[in-house]
Amino acid sequence: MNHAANTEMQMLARAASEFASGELISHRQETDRFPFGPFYTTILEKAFKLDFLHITLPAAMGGMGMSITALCMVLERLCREDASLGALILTHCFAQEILIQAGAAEILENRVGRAEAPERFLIACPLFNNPSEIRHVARLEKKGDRLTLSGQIDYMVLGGVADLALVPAAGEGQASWVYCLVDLRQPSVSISEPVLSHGLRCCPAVDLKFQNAEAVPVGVDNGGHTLFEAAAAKLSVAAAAISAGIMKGSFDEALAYAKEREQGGHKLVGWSDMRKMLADMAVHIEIADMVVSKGCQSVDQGAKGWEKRALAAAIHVQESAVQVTTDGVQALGGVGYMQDFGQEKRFRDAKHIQACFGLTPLKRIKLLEQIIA
Amino acid sequence: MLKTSDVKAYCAREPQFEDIICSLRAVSKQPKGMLKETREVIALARKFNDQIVRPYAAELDRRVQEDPDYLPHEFVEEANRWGLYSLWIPRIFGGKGYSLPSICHFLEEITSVCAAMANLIGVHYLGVATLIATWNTNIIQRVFNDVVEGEKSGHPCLVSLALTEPGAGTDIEETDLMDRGNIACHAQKVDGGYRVNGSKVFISNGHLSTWHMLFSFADLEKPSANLVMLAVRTGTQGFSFGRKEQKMGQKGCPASELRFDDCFVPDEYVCLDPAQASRLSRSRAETTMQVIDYVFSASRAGVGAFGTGVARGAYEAALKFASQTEVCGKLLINHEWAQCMLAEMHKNVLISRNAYVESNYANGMYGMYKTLHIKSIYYLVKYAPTVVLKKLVPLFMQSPLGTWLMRKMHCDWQTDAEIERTSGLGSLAKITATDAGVQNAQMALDLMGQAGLRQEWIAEKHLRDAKLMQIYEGTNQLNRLNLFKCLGGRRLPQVSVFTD
Repeated sequence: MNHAANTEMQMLARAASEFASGELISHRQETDRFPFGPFYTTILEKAFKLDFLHITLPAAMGGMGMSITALCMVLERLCREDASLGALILTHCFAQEILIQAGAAEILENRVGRAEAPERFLIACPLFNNPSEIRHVARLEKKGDRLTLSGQIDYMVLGGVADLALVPAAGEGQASWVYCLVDLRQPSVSISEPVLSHGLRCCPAVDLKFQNAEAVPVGVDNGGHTLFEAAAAKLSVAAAAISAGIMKGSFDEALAYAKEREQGGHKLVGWSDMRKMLADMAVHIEIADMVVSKGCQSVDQGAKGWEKRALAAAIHVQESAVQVTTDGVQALGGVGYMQDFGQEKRFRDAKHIQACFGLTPLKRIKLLEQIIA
Repeated sequence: MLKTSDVKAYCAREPQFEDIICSLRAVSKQPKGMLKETREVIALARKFNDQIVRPYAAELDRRVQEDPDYLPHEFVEEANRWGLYSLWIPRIFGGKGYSLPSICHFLEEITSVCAAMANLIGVHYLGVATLIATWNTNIIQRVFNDVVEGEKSGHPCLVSLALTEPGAGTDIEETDLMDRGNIACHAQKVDGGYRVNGSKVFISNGHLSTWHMLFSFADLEKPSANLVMLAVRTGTQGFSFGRKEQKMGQKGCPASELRFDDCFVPDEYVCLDPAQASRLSRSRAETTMQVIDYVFSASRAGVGAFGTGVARGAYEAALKFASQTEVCGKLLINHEWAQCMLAEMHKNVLISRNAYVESNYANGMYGMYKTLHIKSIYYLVKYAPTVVLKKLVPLFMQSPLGTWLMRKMHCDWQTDAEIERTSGLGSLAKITATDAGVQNAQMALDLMGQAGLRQEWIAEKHLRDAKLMQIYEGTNQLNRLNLFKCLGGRRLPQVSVFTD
């Protein structure tokens, strides 16, 4: 991407690149051991202080108030080296966007914008499920003047990190559902051990159990589906930027290895089938750049049909990233499969992020529905 | 309709009749007992899955993620108790003698639940196959005797293949590349044996094995013509284990570094060396390639079974999820788009299975299994009294005559066309099934969404496990080139492979 259109963006881009090469690479293998190793609290705190988590939070609420383009630029640069932090930022931005769409500015302003530590700032949410596709909602009940939640929500992303969570919930027998803000520190919330996940290990998820936990609904009654769709539409291009970053990292490492490693008496990069594989990866990356760039532009300008463009960008780039990272492992052969290198993690991360906002095949169907409508 | 000579001439055209449908030719020649054995083996695998593999698959994967140095001795001991390490060792060498192609069906079953555990069993037979490929019957007899005794004593005796080197992965699998590569495992001829220096990496089951079938080379300037295959026992002075790799998947099966520092291997464990190779009909370099092809023709069918198994495991996980999960108000399994995806996954499983079965038919007619698939020999070996097998056969196998006869039958009498056919179909099975394995695992995650990302659903484990299958036993790129070399471009004089 080349969106560094102004000085602020250029500085942000440089900061993201430096952070990725300075902080993320050196700790990548160690932090990927989570939950069997420590969570990367220090790295997260540094990212928080550098305002990587505040990019799209409106300035009036204590954020940087920058565009989706700026967010994507940072995500892509971070995810070249390690996509976990990028996914963590995306999860928070998704929850934040739901609150903005729901008109819950007060919460963002008073709670999130003033937070001085990541756990107070971040909001957990189930990034990888669309509750309208696979119904996964807690039971919402009115008890006196209180609203409470019961039941279980699986795979709450950042649930073990953030103090607050956005939980999809519905009343008994109700088809429609609503998002509720829940303070995860209350004793009526049980938090599981971190789920052992395929990729994005430092964007962890937990399973939550509620027993009459206090909850505050956000947005209009039964408006969860609308909020989900609006936030997912806006941030799908950010998910694409994560995938674009992952595939660029994969290509960089594959090319560097091919230039170094010898096979049959000359450098691997000299073998024409390897050149073709690397070229295929490069084609995917060049197209991803164009697609993400156009998607960002559409979202930021609110151009007619931006939702379709953003969704198509996400579908295409995420699929490309899965292909590129598969080849990225293959290009390194046996060592590409080992955790000493970055390729196997990118392979897992690319497939993992493809699942954000719900089932992959249904995203295609949703795109067609938008076209038909 | 056609004269016999015309039929012969037309069928000799490319693609040759013999290459088209090995199964059609093989079925009539195949002993009926093999079918019964295969059914029995599949049933055994399913029982083993139910009792041992399924309850432990996710736990073992998780345990190795938590402790990368963990070695699954308890599983190996269990497999040993079930007799799985001698099940496919021919009766003439002391094993239970189940038909060799049936191991692929067994491995497919186990892999459909856990590829790592399938490797903990299957990779032992890669070592076994490598030893058989030398047809040094004396050493075969002694090493296999250790395996059988290990089952009786409860101390597992596994065999590994030590081939890949830090500087030579693909290079060591093709003689066309060997002499240009960076092969470094040197075997120096000394009085009474060889002195070995070098290292091997990514050796599956290395830390768990007692015997290691080592590929080393007497002359590193021209390794293709100087292959020295040695049987090295764990504990031999100068031989040690290095690091255990941290892999993305197949975590329960260790990938080991083996180090050789002035490691002396006596003549009695020299399976094949330039002096022995000189007594065969082919040149030494051609013999090296024949041995590699011989092993890989069988083992790549095995990897085809791994690929089929992981493709099947991913398919079954997705099928289970789809049959119990409602999406947009109705079961996922009743969405037309999901049915088509599941059908595609099912197709991948069936085609992959056909590919490895066809490869094994070729091995049965032209390769490693040839002798034991001759009906008379099959039944003779199967029903020969134990006393004959224990007393008389070893006498023959341990004599020079045994090695001479087996090498004559399996090396000298194997034609170039037979080598190409078995090797080409082995590569075909490998790339077809392992690509299908990765594709199916990715499709399973597409279908399962959030649930598929969790380790306990196993679908994501299948994806991690599947990726390695596209790499080991020769990368799929190498196997595509081998398929082209052996079957696609072999009759075109202008073709040259590995010459970029």
